[in-house]
Formats: sequence, structure tokens, C-alpha cells
Amino acid sequence: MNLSRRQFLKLTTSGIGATSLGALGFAPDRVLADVRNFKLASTTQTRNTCPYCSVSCGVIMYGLGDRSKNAHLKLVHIEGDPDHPVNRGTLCPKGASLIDFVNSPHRLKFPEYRAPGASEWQRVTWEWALDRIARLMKDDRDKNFVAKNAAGVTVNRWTTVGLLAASASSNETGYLTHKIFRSMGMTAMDNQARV
Amino acid sequence: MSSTALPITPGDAPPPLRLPEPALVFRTRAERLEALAKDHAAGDWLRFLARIARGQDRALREVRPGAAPRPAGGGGSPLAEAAARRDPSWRAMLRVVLASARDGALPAAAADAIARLEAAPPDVIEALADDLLAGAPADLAAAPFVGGALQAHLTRLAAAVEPTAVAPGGAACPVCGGTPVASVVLGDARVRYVVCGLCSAEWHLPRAQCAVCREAGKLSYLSVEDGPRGVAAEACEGCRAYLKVFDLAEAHGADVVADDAASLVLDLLVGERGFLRAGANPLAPGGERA
Repeated sequence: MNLSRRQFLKLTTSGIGATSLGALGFAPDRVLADVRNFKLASTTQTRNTCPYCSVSCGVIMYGLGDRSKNAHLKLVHIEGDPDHPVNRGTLCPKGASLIDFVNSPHRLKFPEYRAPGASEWQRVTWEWALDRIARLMKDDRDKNFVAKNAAGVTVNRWTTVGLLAASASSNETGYLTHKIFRSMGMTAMDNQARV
Repeated sequence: MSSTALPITPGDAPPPLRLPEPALVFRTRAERLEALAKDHAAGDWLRFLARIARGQDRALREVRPGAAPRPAGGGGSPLAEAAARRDPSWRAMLRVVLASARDGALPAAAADAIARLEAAPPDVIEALADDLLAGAPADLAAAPFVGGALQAHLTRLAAAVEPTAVAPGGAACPVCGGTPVASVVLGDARVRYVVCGLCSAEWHLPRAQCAVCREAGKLSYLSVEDGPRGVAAEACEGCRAYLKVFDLAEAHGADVVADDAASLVLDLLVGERGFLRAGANPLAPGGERA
């Protein structure tokens, strides 16, 4: 059953006479003064998945700001999603502190590099970082790739480098992760990032 | 399934339906209205609504219930029939509500409305009830009393409904087919229930989605800046309608009917933005048909 459109009511300051307050003879002056003196604040509530582990608890994130005005939202509160079948509103201590992770001044927002032996981190571009990771992976694989084991059986494995991937990623991301890294011979892959 | 398996603790699946406890509903509502009336811009009106709620509470104790409604077949709302063809005992409840409302200072228009209803023959009163149940009542001065008596009558019947006989709720009440007044988010379990304005039944609806069109992506929660905490209008850009939601973790002790009336300023501010009100409060009806 749905509400029919005619049950929607238009309630505005000019129509205060068309309320039971007005119709019963109560003075609306102070209510109307409040309408002039107050403004509306707008918040949003958005569902998401906790990024920490493969349990993938549902969360509701509260944002401050007007969605209709395309304003930049500021996250003000995160709580467990009571309607999510996995966690029914509960969160572990790590998940319960998600808001501080999001708004932390120390949150990493771009790639940084610390050269071997150096004590300082320096900001680098994604391009530089990806090139360097690819270079080091290639060098390590060329050096340590095992094509055949002691018995002469083809194994094609690369065991000196491992991968930590995302725990809350989709089936498709998981497929691509395996497709790419298994094809290089990588055996140590972990999609459980809580550890 | 037990309807009174409360409080809900996190981890449990929320029961789809919560049925009212008539002995508590109106007494706590009257107390809430009296508390809200202090320093309120419409304090006199809220104190007057508290007298109606006291009358509803008294009516439940003084008026003997009529014949139990026949159980509805076919999976519809079990009380739809009882709301449409009402047992005459509800008019006795109206007399108690009117007597209670009259007991104190009143504006002339309210006193007139009470006198008019006290003298009205049963068919006129039944016509007023039909008008109120159909949506926006034309006679706004009579509606709070008629609505209050209907609310007391249907709340008593809803308490006796077998919860397993009720289909899941949508935009309208699954128990009596009535229009919701607002929704609440429970303070402990954080689950949302939509509350029927007529029979006080509460049905579970996932949070962060429009109670009218079920759209989730176009919602804004509008509240009065520096106003009471935990009181917001869940406004949907999709269907341009809103239903208020009271977050009991912040709005401690909120009662949907009392707090809806007390947050009239929020209605007016949200109405000025062009949103239409989807909720109907029998004690505080208002607005023009859109």
C-alpha cells in the first residue's frame, strides 16, 4: 500500500491559519517569530562498508552539508548500520573509531617515499611511485623466480614478494587481483587487511 | 514471536512490528507535552494538547471496550475494517476527551469547537471521523478531538492484534492502514520504526531511505540550526516529501505525537523549501492539500 499524493500536505508560514494551532485560536506570533529567527541545517546519512577486515560490517556515515547544493560534506559521525545483516549495528573497537581515521590529521592522502637509510619522508607523484614499485618487482622477480623445483617439475613461482590487498573489495577487484599477480607466479597474497 | 520482547540488544534481528501499550502511551504523551510546553513558543497550545492526551488516557480506563473486531481475512491490515466501521464506544471516548480538554483556560475558538462537538448528533461525528481518516480534515478545529478519540480507540484495538497476522509495513500502517505521524530511531538498537498516527503501532523500516518512495540516494536530514537535538525532517528530493524522524539517543524521551507538534517550526521551515508533509498527526493536523 502506498501513500497517495493527496495525503501530502503543504505547510508553510502563510498557511499557519490552516493548522489546528490557528484554527483553535492559539496565538501563532511567537512560532512565526521563531521561523524568522532560525535557519535549517542539513545533514546526510550514507551507507558504506568498513574497510578494515573481510567481515565487511555495514556503517552509516553522517555528513554535514547540503547535498542538494553539491557542497563538500564534512563527516561528523559514523555508526554501525543496524539494518546490515552482517553486524546488525555493532562495530569492533577499530571500526567504532573509523571517524577518527577519516578525519585524522595524519591520514595519508598521497604517496610518500623514504629512501633507504634516510630518516625523512618525501612526497612523490603516483607516477613515480608506480614506476619504482614496478622496477623493484621486476628486478626481484628476475632474481628469485623459480621455474622448476628440485625434481624438475615446472612450478613457475615467485615467493620472495607478497601482496596485501583490500578486504572490502568487490568480486571483480578480487578476480583482477588474482589474475594479475598469480600470472606473475606470486603465491603470498592476503586480502585480509586487519592483521 | 513476542511483541513485547524489549529492549532489543544489538545483534538481534529487529522485530518487524512493535505494538502499543495503551496504559502507557497517552500518560507518557501528556507528561511529555507538559515538559515540552515550558519556555515553548506555543506553550499554551502544547498544554492544551496535554489535556487531550490526559483525556485519551482517562477514556481508555473509563470507557468499556466494544465488541472485538472480526479478524480480517486475506492478509490485509487487520484493523482496516474496525477503522472504517467503528464501534460506537469510540464516541463515548470522544466525550471523555472533550470533558478533559475543556478543563482549563481555552481560546474562544477551541471552546466553540468543544461545545459544537458536544451537541453534535452521532452521524455528524461519524462524518467528521470519515473525513479525518481520508486524509486532510476540513474542520481543523474539531479534528484534534475527533482524532484523539479515534487514536485512543484504535490504539486499544492494536494492542490486541496478533502480530503474526500482520504483513510487513510499507508507507501505510500494516495494522490499521493509517498514515504515519513520524519515525523514531531507537536509542540502544539504533533501528528505525515508523509510528502510526492512528493506532500507535510501530513498524520497522531500514534507516536512511525515504519512508514514502524508498529512494535512498536523495535524502537530506533537515533540522533547526541550534534547535532541539535529534529532531530532523527526512526530506526526499525524489518525491519532494518529508517525514520527521526522532533520534531517541539525542532526543531523550521523545514521543512522536508530542514532539511532532512541538517541532512545528521545523515543518514551516521545511515547507518554505517546498517539501510536502507526508506525516499526519491527529492531535495537531494542519496544512493544505498539495
